[in-house]
Amino acid sequence: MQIDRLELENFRQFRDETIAFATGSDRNVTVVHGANGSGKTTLLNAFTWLFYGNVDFDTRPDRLASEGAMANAQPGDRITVSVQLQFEHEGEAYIAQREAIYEKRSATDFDGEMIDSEVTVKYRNNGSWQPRNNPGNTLDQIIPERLSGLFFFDGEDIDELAGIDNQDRIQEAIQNIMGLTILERANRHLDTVAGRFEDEVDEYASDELSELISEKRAIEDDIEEFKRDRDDTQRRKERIESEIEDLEQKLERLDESAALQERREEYREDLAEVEDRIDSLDEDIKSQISQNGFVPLAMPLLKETATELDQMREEGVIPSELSNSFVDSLLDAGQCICGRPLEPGTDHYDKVASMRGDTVADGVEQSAIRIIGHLNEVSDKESEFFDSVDEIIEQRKNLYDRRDELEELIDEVSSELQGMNQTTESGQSIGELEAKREQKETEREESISEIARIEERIERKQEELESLEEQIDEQQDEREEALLAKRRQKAAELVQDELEGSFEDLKDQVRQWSNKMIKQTFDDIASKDLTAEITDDFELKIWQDVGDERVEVDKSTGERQIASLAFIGSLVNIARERYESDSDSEYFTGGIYPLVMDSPFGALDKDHRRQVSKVIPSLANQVVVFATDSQWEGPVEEEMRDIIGEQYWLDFDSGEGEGEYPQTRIATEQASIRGD
Amino acid sequence: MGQPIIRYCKTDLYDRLVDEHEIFENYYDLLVFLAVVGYHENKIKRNNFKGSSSDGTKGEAGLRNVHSKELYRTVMACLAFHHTSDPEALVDADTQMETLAKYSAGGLEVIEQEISDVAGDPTDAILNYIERNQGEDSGISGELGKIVESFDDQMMGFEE
Repeated sequence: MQIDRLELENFRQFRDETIAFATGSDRNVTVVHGANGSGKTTLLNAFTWLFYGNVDFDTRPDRLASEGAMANAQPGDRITVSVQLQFEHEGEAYIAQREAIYEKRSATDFDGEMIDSEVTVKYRNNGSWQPRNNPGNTLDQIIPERLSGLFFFDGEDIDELAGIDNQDRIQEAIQNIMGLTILERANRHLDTVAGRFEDEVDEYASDELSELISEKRAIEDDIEEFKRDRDDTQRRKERIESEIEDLEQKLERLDESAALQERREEYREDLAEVEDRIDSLDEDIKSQISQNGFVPLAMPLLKETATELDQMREEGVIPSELSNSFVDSLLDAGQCICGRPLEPGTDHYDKVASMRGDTVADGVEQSAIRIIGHLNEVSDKESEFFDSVDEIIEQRKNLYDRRDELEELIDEVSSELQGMNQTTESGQSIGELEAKREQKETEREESISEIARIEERIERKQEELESLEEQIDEQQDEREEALLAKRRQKAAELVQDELEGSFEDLKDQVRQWSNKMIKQTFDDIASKDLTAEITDDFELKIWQDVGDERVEVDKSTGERQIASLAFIGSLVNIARERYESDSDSEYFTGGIYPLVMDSPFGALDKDHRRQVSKVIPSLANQVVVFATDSQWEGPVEEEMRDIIGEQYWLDFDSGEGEGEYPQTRIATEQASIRGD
Repeated sequence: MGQPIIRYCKTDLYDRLVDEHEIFENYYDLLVFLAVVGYHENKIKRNNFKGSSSDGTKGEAGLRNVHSKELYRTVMACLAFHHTSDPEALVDADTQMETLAKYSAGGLEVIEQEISDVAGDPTDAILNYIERNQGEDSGISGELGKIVESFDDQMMGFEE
């Protein structure tokens, strides 16, 4: 997609304005300069309104029509609000337009009432413009609404992307960029289809089956609700953890508490090590139980058997001869039943070998001999088992003591910190910070227990669900229609499972691509000792090498914002590469998208602004940037001067005077505005 | 022809002790352990010891796996002999497999009861059970020592 021209009519403070976007390959950036409140965010909203009918304004969210136009109208007059975009997509020229008609209801009505609205999309076909039958759908296919946050980008959101709640957003973004959610849509449809077949089963089913189906549906609803609860609690836990981290970082930075905080860290490390060792000893105990745990209990059985066999031997029930095959097996094994080694050439070997003779008494006798022969071995194993288990238990007990001791020391540090009255920059005392940290720690533990409780509930419900599904499968007294619908339902569920698997694989593949690109982009612009990555859990992390260690960089720093931008850029790039690639992909077709960014420099300092300026042109084929003068001047201007294709200035008149209303004009020359 | 299969009762206890907490490496390790528990407690199940597919308790173990450990082979023979008092049971694989399953099903109830109050990892509870129930007379001494010796010497022709 390439955007060519945007026309605004009576859209908020824009009465009749036009922007033609830079489309060159070298000079692909369009810059719109504007002071705070001059209409930058309104321009971003013009795109989302045109495409999806959505706007997000901080002030007067209901007022779409120009205040000036409404003021000049008479009650009963109609005002047309319109946004039109000319663009090219996949080799075709398009004109998309959204119009809304507002009627002024009274002399003091400046908002108007919307009485009609329409969206139209025309495309050029053989030299003439043809309308698209389903314009809303066409636009949503070109840039799906779910992708709009990526391509129509508000710089103020950048913190959020790099912040603690980013996991879901990053996953969502990756999901969205992939083949424009074909798979997900298919999945949703299959779910609906399976549900519809289930309705059909229900319709033809016996009362009993029908009851089972409603039970199943109720349980499915419960599971969904539990999962939502769990995800909410998980997010709460992550937020608490981040708050704890913040508090601890504060304690680390303060001279008075730094040493204590450091000591606490050491104790924690020791504690973690002790816990690891305890785990490892637990593993050893398990291994002992698995291998030899049966021996002490089996010992009396073997003894009893041996005594009875001896009795039988004495009574002559078991003869005292050996079979040749048994003697051979002993010689092959190199060990006598009494445990002595049997090495060829030794007296003992010869004696055993000489027992091969004429008498053949296979089976029972050999088995009896084996059992008796094992008595010694079993006895040794029993002692070994108890000796090693006792030793492990003793070691573990010592570690338990050490663990208690460390926990106590950690508590003491906390008490000591809580007793410190020195006031920090934030106005709180160290004691208060620590008390807050403790409280957060409790909350964290509570949320962990809560998650475990919910998980358990989900598991129980899943079991109930499985059992119900089995019962439903086993129902035999159904009519042919129900059986057919049931088979179809199963087929839909099966395909859904398969698709879900492919979807997850593909998502991970895109994560890996994105990760690779972020690393490259980040390497090019950020400091040498920093690296960025998207983890397996879809978290955007930045690491700093400190000595031999790698530590995570604090959130809300410039680096994080740059990484966030690099992430968005990586997705746009992936989509473009997939689109241009020859390789066939059933699901992931990609596409070419422009990037429209409102204030991507946020509140960055000079150095970081320079770095971001370097990244921006590489983010997409076509980039539109809205910026204030203070964000623009200096490093940003220096870096971007040579790649700007078009430049505009928003000239805002707040309309303070009598009969005047707020209005923004879009000018191509800065000087002319200043001169006015 | 496939290998002989031991059919036994496999309840959630197997999932818990083998899969979840990995106290036993294989299902058959637990199977044998439970059988000696059954013997020890004198608990044997004569019915439903093979599990049933209706409640998902049908378990199967290859005899070859159980025989991979020499001592398991011995335990199976002893259980069968103890159960039947017939020396032929020492070599009758079918009897041994069935007896193992019967004792194991008995032992299963004991251990289920034993760890029913343990919410998390039951390793220590299992260990306590073993320690509490080990035979009083450890080691081979007295009469048994003599039996071993006499068998050894007599069978091997080392009698003076």
